[in-house]
Amino acid sequence: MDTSGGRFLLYVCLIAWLLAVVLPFGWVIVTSARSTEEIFRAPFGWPEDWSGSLGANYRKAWVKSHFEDYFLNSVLVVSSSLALLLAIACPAAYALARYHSRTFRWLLVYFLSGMMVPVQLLLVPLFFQYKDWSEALTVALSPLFAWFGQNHVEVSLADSHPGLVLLYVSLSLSFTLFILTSFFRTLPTELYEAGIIDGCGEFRAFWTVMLPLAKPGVVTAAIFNFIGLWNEYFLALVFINTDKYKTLPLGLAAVSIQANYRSDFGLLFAGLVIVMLPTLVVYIFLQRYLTQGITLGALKG
Amino acid sequence: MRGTSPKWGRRRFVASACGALSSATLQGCGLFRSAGEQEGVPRVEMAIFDGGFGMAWHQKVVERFVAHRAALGKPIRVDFWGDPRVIDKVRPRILRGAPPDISDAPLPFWKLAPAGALFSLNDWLDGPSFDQSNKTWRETFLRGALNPFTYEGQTCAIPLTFNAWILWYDKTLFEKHGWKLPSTFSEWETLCEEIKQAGIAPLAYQGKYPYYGDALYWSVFQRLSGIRKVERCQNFEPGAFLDPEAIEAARVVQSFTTRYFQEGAMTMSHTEAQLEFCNRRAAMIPCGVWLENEMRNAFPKDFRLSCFIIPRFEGGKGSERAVVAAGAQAFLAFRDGGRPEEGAELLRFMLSLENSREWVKTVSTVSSIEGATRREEIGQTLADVLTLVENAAFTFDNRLLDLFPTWRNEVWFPTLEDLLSGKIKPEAFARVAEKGLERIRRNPDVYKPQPRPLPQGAGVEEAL
Amino acid sequence: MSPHRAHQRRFALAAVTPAFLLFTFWVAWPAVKGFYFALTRWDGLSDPVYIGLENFQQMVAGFSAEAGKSAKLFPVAIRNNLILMIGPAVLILALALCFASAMRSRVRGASIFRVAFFFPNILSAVAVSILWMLLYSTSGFGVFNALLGWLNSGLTALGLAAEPTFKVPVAFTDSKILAWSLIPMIVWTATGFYMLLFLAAMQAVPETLYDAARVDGASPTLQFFHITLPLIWDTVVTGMVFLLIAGLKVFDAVWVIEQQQSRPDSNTLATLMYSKIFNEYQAGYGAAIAVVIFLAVLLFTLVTLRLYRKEALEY
Repeated sequence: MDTSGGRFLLYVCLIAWLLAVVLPFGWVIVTSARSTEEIFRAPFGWPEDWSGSLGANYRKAWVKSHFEDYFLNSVLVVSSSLALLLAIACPAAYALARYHSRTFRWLLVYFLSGMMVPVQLLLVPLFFQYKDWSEALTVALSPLFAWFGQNHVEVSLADSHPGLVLLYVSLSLSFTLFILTSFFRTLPTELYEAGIIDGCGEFRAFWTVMLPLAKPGVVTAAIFNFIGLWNEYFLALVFINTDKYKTLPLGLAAVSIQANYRSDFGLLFAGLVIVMLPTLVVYIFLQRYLTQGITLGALKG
Repeated sequence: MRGTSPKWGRRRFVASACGALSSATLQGCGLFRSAGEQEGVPRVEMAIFDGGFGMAWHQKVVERFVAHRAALGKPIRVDFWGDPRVIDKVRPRILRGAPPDISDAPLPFWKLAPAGALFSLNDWLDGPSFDQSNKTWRETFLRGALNPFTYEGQTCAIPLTFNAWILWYDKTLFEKHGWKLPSTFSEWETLCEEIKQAGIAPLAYQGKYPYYGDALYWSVFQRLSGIRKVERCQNFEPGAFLDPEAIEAARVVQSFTTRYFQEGAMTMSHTEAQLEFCNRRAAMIPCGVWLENEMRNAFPKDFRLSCFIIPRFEGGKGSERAVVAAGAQAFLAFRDGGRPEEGAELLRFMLSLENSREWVKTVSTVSSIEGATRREEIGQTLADVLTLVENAAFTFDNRLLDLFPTWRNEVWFPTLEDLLSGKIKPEAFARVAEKGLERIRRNPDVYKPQPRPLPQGAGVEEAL
Repeated sequence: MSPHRAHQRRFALAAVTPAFLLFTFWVAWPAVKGFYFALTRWDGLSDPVYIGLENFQQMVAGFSAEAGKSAKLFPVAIRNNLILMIGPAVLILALALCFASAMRSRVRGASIFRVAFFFPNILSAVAVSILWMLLYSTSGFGVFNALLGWLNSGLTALGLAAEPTFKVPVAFTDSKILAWSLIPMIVWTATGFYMLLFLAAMQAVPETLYDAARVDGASPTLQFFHITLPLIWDTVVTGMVFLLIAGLKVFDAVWVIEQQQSRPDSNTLATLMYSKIFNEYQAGYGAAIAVVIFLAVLLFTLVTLRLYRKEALEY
């Protein structure tokens, strides 16, 4: 690689890979501004009528194919999952990293062992567990509903957003705790001790002193989970059946089948962009946290 | 900011965001289902396979049903939706214990019925029909239509249409060559030779999908031996497939392949084979009633589609007018649906004589309701089908296909394919089928229904 | 115990309790139940029947020569998963190590390459699959078929081949070869992540070691194999295990490209499991497939721990 020829070859390789990565995405964005008929005539080309086809495709995707609803559903499910996940995982990770009793050491192993459990193993039990719990909750809550004058209310954990959120939170716990405990461990304890001496309670010391210090770790965990959950397909496919509760990946998959049946490729490309864009924005602005997280992972092994 | 500290502003923002979030979550998240029922107004959910026929008829019938119930002072709400992949959406909901009330998704009846997932419609079937006051609902169906959907005496599904497996031909082509419909099997063989002389394949065959060959086998079998031996197979009695007449039927069907099928038949899909027939490169084709609809756009202008059944064998003991036929496109009713009894009411309404007549007009098919398919409202082709069905001595079907899907996919269809492509002898075919069935008999985990009664009809006695 | 310690304890317990409850009821307990269901015959509708290891025997029986079509589904899925595990692992490790050492040797514009290469990782697997399905198609979208076509005409024009070398169009997404066709897609998607992973590990290697090697006249290749690779070995092993586990769990791509249907030739363990449970009502057998996936993950993890260097290298 010291020779200039080797160096040249290296750049050729790197640039080729760069193009291979970036061009398809650029193609998707450009094509989403072309009409289906244009796309059929020549799949690769510049839009003939930017504003017209762009508007038509996105309007069709957003309104007629319900990406509006799917988008809102995804935002709701992912944001509440992240909020709940961090609210639960931050204190837990802090405690697990700070206290070194035997119980807590085993507890950490218990949580981290969850990283080895494939989601497939949980699928069948959770699916039927949700059915049983929903029935039990319906019975248990029926006096309450009756009090509100609602007699036919059923609780359904499956096929509902809260049910999906609970799944997302619990299945992301192990990984999140792994990242956060590593971060909390790197924090100096002097500040915590100073806080305690100043008369902070344990919670205040955690909330006002330690948590702000761990912000980079929390952001890293949040981004990894955001990307993972925004794109999650398998669990949503199994647990959501009703159209109006679907998240974006489900909506996109449905449109791709329709595109084959009804040949509406303009719509499909618009849908692709709608799904990709939020993660792209997050990535562009917060990519250094991702790199940080990976660095942490690499050094921990 | 009127002096409020930024911290307070943030807190208030968080609080209001949480409030908005939680109220949105509670209303639109699906955790609580009021089943959409207002006080006293039950709600029925119907899931429909949205294939080529559309849902205009369903829409109309549902509107009428709602109006009818409102007039009775028993208001009802019907939510119905259709999807080409309705089966994928209904299946997980059955497992979750929250299926729709009724659906015509092509679900495995013999898996769901023994597992107790279906809702018995007997109380409605044995009650009065909707618009034929002198009959029970059950009596309004064509003979045999409900047979495939009755589990231990409980009928849990209602077929919308009636399908018959028949032989199709083109009157124009036959007249042009002066060919006559055969009245005996040897006449048929002569006819086939004549057709061959004209440079046309006598029979087109859809080799990729063995359903078509299966229907041929059972109709030949019945003609040769009579219904009783057929029913021995249908009741999976030991050795039934090894009967000399069962083997003879296999030999006859195999002889079609080698002598009469079009070139390359065994690798053709149904569309390819049917195009051979439409383009008059083959003179006849075995298929279900749907052929006319399915190939609507492929027939030449002067094509006059008509049908007949395999004629009687000299010395054959079976009925010459029996047809392999049964109800199809069935609506299943689910036990775990919110209101299965209202679903049953809706079905009874949907299959009233009047609504069935409209169904026939909309999709041009044979209704499972007797008298609903009227000659003056259907084309000549469908009228010919109707004649065959009405003149049938009795109808029967091969229930083993749906009863034992593993046997069908792993034993029966592969060996039938081997038989038709000439790879094995009829005796070997019979042995394989019998051996596979023996495994089923020994497997306590496979549900096996009671022997079914002989079909009813004028011709049954002579065809035993 | 001092009052402060007691206070600390209470806080610590309160902090872990929600996580503990959620994890126990949504992960640990279902996992245990998953093992139980794997030992039952269960259609999901009636009650499960305990049958011991019969589900697993049925899987093994699929490998025998006279197995029926439905029994053969399992071996085919295993084959597809092996393709999806080994193919990407080999290619990605090689590519990512190359790219990472290039980045380390101060390439101009390294940060742009880093940001761009990682980019496909953030995209939804559904979107990526649809994109590749289009690129693979036999219609006008099919970039790959177009490339093969150009290659054909190029070769004939140069006189290297008398007739077209490749038979175009190739049906890349045909069930029979789908697993192979997914390898480039996975490499395209994941290489960036592993590049960053290895780069981070490489940057922790002190520069002095390389200086010393350079003084000794060691070539860059030699430096890579004698300094870099041994020192980042644990990270490489970790990366390999990530890739193997990811290949074991492939679902989204196959499911989307096959139009949300399970097909006998392209099944992976995950799609086979889905169709067994929801299409064929064999929840017990489905759970057994999940147990196989879990055992494989466990095996890989244990092997990794063995492959880690026994003692941390001092540098």
